[in-house]
Amino acid sequence: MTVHVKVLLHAMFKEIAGQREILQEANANSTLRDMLDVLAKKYGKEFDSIINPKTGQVTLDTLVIVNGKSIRNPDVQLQDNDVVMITVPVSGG
Amino acid sequence: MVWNRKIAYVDLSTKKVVQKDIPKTMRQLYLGGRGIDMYLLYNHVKPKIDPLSPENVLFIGVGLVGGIPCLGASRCDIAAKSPLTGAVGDSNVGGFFGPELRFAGFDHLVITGKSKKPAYIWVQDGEIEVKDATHLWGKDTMEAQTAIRHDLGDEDVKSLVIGAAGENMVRFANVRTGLKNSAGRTGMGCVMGSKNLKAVAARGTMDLEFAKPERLLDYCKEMNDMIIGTRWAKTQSRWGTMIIFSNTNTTGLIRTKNFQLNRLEDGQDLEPENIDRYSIGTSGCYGCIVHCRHRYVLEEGPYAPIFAEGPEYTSLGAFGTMVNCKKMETVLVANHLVNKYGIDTLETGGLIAWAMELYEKGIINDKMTGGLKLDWGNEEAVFELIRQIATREGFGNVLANGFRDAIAKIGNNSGYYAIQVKGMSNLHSDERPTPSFALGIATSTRGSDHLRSRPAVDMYGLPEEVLQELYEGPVSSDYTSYDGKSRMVWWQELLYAVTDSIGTCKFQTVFCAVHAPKWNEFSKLIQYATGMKFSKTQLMQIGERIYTLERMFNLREGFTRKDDSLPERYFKEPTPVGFPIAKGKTIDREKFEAMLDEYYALHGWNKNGVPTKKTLAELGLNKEPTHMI
Repeated sequence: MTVHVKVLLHAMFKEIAGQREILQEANANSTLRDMLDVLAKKYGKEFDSIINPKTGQVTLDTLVIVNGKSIRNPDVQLQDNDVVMITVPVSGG
Repeated sequence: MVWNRKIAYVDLSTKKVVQKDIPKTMRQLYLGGRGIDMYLLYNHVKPKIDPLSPENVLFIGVGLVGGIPCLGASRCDIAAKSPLTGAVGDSNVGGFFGPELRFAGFDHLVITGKSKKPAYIWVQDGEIEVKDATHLWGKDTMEAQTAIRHDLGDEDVKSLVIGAAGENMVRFANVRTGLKNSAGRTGMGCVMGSKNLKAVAARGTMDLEFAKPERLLDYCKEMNDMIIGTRWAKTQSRWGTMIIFSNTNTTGLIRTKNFQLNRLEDGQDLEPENIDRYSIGTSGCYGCIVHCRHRYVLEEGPYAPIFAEGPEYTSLGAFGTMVNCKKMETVLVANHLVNKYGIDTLETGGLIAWAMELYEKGIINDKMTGGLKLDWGNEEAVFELIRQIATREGFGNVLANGFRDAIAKIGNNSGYYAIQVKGMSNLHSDERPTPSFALGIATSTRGSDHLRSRPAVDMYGLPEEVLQELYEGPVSSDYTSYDGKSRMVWWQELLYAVTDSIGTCKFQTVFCAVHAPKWNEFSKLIQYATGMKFSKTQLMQIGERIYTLERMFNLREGFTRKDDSLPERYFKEPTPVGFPIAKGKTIDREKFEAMLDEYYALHGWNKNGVPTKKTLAELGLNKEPTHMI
């Protein structure tokens, strides 16, 4: 069985991938970390530094948002129809 | 650096100018910029005056480290009693004017009275003159700056100017400098207009002396390298604050159709990458390595040619989501128009969106709007209403005094639909899913506003130990939680008060990232620039002193706890769309009131939001007004 995850890319991630939206297919037991690994292998630059190698967590200067909630520990299991947004924490007004 | 910079008192009624030194005590207590402006505001503006009378006083202040080459140390603070809210009027602007005023020998201007004829103030290398501005009256904000440079024969003159909105005393008229920079909020341009003051121009060639120049330059370089090495700064330098739109619109955190929705469907054209179709590059303020705004050109269309800067995230909401316009080009035209006329983009968009909802509901009709079809997404109506507001024509004149006056004129429960606090419009953010943001707009001393306290890092889901270390107390990492959020707001209020007082950019402090410069970095910059030493605790106390003095000003004007609230719709209408985390959310009234209690306690204020005697004594505010300057 597989799950389908919609990945929305913003900022430099969108530029590097050349697209705003990717439909990613993964095994039923896949985690967010697995999916980020796949993207890092596919796109390299910037995608390969979403996870901090020292902590194993999402770096503080990246936002990985699953269904609207920012995730730091990527060992969460992906669910069918999850929406994962990868962007950068910028604020202002 | 700061020790030979003066404060000047300019009486527009008599054209008399008096220069004085700024006592060191003032620097130790209030730093500069917003801090000293707030001291002056409390001391020089008599209680309950009419903000449009000559009795109101306009203050212009440069930040304590203004002019150093890092952290966008360009910021200049403009203050008066607000003609929009009746509360603290205060707005902060970047660009190049602040450093130029300092190069010309002055850190603070206190402008009193009213000129009989249009006038402008000319500041040059230690001298100040009030000049005739009759020929400038009627010029838009860009034309006026060009004309002043031409008049003075110097292309390096920097000016703060007002446009048609300020001249017509629109109560949310702003003060502009350069192509884009605006002291946007609380109607400081209206106060200038009420004094017949078209502009303040500065040109300076006086040296700045630093306490430890080599260490300062090394540290500025270290700051710049650190900032531009971060992912968030790189992102800002490429897309500016517009990048926020992608996240908030996708999640469902953005006001749409005034307050009816929290996400703009089919809004992809407003995503920041689409600025590339019009952009010719980016530009920045003095002392900034980020350069967060685009310069853009529109060569076609009824308003072409347009050469402008921006837009900020704010304008994507003001003239995009809130009025249901889905084209980037609409935002770019509207952004240009409000800047040309000199009106606050946020207040203007908020009022137009409100009017559109009233029109949809039949509370206002074609007869009242003079035939303007205020249908959602009608960009021509938006452009026309911007013009009418600035020139006080037709239905625009109904809106030109802001929400309170327009609600009184329209009646018929129209106030229920107005998204404002203390008479000032809210940003297009929808705070129903984020209690910390909701508390911040309710407590802001200048009316609904995100730049007084917004703890944006609340959105990042950071580990609680990171948040605890930053905020020095327990804070939930869940942005929908109420736990610890009063602490976040309180802490950010102090940080932003100090940031506005040293004159650096908020975007380069803990707005974007927890590891961005804050107390310790500020302390080093102040020491190397001025020789003054402040610990983190001392800087936080200065932030508390400034914020509490602002509170005292508002209390003196009659504001109370009941004014620290939210539009009723926040409590009653659940967010209709968005991700599950953002959908179906209202603000829980009981939890909100409990947050407010906690927030007051953190400031050392009682349950009514009144500073206690103990707090006033600790902050040295128990004898204010003290009239030290």
